[in-house]
Formats: sequence, structure tokens, C-alpha cells
Amino acid sequence: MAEASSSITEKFFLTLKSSDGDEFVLEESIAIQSITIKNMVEDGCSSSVIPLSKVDTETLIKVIEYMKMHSSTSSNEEEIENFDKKFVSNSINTILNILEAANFLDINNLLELCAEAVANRIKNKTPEAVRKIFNITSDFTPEEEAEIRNETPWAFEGNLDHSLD
Amino acid sequence: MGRDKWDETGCENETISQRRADLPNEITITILAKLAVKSLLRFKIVSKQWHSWISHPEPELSKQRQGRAEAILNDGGALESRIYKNKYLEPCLRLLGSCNGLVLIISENKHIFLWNPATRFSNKVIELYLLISDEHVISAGGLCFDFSKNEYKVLLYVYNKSVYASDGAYALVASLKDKKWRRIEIPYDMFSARDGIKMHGRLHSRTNLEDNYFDMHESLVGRNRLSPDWRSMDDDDEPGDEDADTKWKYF
Repeated sequence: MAEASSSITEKFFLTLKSSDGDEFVLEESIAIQSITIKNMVEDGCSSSVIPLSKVDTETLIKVIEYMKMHSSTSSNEEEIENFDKKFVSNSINTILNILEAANFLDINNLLELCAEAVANRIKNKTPEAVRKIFNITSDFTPEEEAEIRNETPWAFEGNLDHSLD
Repeated sequence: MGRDKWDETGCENETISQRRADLPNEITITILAKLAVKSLLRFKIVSKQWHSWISHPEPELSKQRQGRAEAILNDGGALESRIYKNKYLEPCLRLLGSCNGLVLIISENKHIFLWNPATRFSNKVIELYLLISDEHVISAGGLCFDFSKNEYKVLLYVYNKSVYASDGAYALVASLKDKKWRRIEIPYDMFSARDGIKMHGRLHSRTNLEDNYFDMHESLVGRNRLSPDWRSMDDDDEPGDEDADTKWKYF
């Protein structure tokens, strides 16, 4: 009898709510890849819905996709690798959103993956393109800018990428 | 030209990128930490904030970049930030050693530079010419990093080439922070000293005559500045020392 009951592993589920108000039900064992969620579970604050006010629905769907793939015991290394490759081919803006969510949810693997992906995408870009992607307005005067360029003119040479994605 | 193209794309993305303004700094720093030196140098002009992160990395950025071209690091303020653009670089240059991707170079007129091949910057870090006469020859040198004081140190072996000289060989050591040379007497014949090699972060030097390696590190960063810990490989009385292979375990 005892043996029979122990073979049925009880699954716990959590409900995550995006900033757009959409709710997602997820197995606890998958969700606790997020240290933030794990801490909430351990502190007993996860009985009802967990509101993720900083994560919109589109981003949350991606994050859940990632967590499912990375916690599944059935997915092998190659599958995960392919998944990651495809995952980072999302638009740079999507990746930045995911990065922000990964930072907030404290999912280190996801944070590393996305940071590496963004670095890869921007490494050959012009400073102008990077400013637009990060929504930064330059606070240098043209003279100051020229001075910095002159320090390492070679860093501005070559085929630079002007695209924003 | 290309400009129109990116403005167009820029407009398309404007509504989305609007939210990017509040991207937490730690995320931007994490991304920067993964970039190669060339990209970082180019992105210095993105904004003053980026410039400051890249030129004077936050401890966090340096930590994350550890090992990857310490490059942009200003060496904790040890190096002058002024850039000497080939002004002092003369035809006769000698490489004395390297550490953390920085190369130590001495010019014929005894100016000593650090050159960073990654950024292609060279900084004159210290001068020597008042200290040694033309009679003195530098037989070898080295560069190492003192973690306890967070500073680079330069080492030079000097000997007097005049046969009548009474001052034999000695070493000169200077921290690149205070830029003061101090002299260390050497109990070994260093006339034939060869440029230092580094093993496990410790600087070693070799002399031809005895084919010994000396652990120079202790004298550079050791606690006792006056009596540096000169150790010959052969002086080491670890068991199994007679076996050439086990000698290296000393390090």
C-alpha cells in the first residue's frame, strides 16, 4: 500500500499572472528554475496567483517555453541546444524583454543565454544603431565624439552593421 | 544613403524601444561584459554612461570580464590615462615581459611603456634613465601583478658591463603606482639572466650558468622588502628534488 502511493508523485502547480493579466498554470518543479519564484514558494506566498507585474504576456510565454524545455527530463542535450539556437533568433527587442524578465525572475541560464545573444547581435553594429536599440540619446558633443573616435580609429573601421535587429 | 534606411527602421521600432530606457544597468553591464575589445572601444561614444562603464569598469564589469582582455581596465588607476601616440616609440624597442595581456616594453632611451595589443594603446609608465648609467646593461626584466596591493610591478636585472665595476648585478623593482625604483641585491650571478617566465602567476627568472630558476615573485610582492626571498630551484629541499620532472612541482 505504502509503496503504491509513493510511486504516484504528486504534482504541484503554480499560477503565474503576466502584466497584461493573463494567467498561466505551470508545474512547480518547472517554475522554480526562477529563484525569485522558488523563494516565494519556500516562503509560502505562492498559494494563490503569483503576479509578475514586470513581465508581459508575450515575454512570459517565451520564458515558460524556455523553462519547460530546460527542465524536461525527456529533452536531450542536442534538443536543448537546437532550442536555444532558435530561441535567440527572436528579434533583439524580444530578447531584451526576455533578458529583463530573466533578471527579475532570477533565471541565471536564461540571463546568460540572452546576454550572450545580444552581445553577439550588436558586436558589429554602429554606435548609432546601438543607441537606437537601447533607446539612448547621445550626451556627447560632436567634438567629444570625434575625440573618442580618434583615440581608436581602427575600432570604427570595417563593415559595420547599421541594422536595428 | 544608409542613414535613411536606419531612420525608417528606427521609426518602426520606436514604440517598442521606448521601453528600453529603463533597462536596468546591471543588464547592460552583463551584455557589455560579453563584448570583445574592439566593440567596446566603438561603443564608448554611445553615451557618457557607457563611456564611463567601459573606460573605468565597475568592479562588476571587470569581474565578469576576468581573463578576457583586461584591456580597457585602467589598472586600478596605476596607469596614466594619457595616451602616448608613438611619441616616444623609437626604433630600438625591447619586449621585457607581459602580464594580463599587457606587454612591457623598454625603449633605447630608457622610457618604459606598457602596450596593450588589444586596444593598441601604449602608456609610458615609468622612466629609468636617471637611475642607471651607460655602463649599466639591462639583462632581463619582467612584469607582474601584485594582487595584495592591486598594482603592477616592473622588474629589471641590471649589471655593470665595465670589468672594473665594483657593483655587480642587482635588480630594480618599481610599482607602477608610486613609480619609485628600489634596488634589490642579488645573491646569484645574474649576468646571464634571461627574461622572466611566469608560472602560476609567479615570475621566475633563469640564469644560464647554473640553469636555475628563481622565484622572483616573493621579492616583488613579498612581505619582507629588504631581504627578498631568492630561491633557487636547486636549493629547494623537497623530496624527489633530484628528479628533473618533479622540480616543477615546486611551483
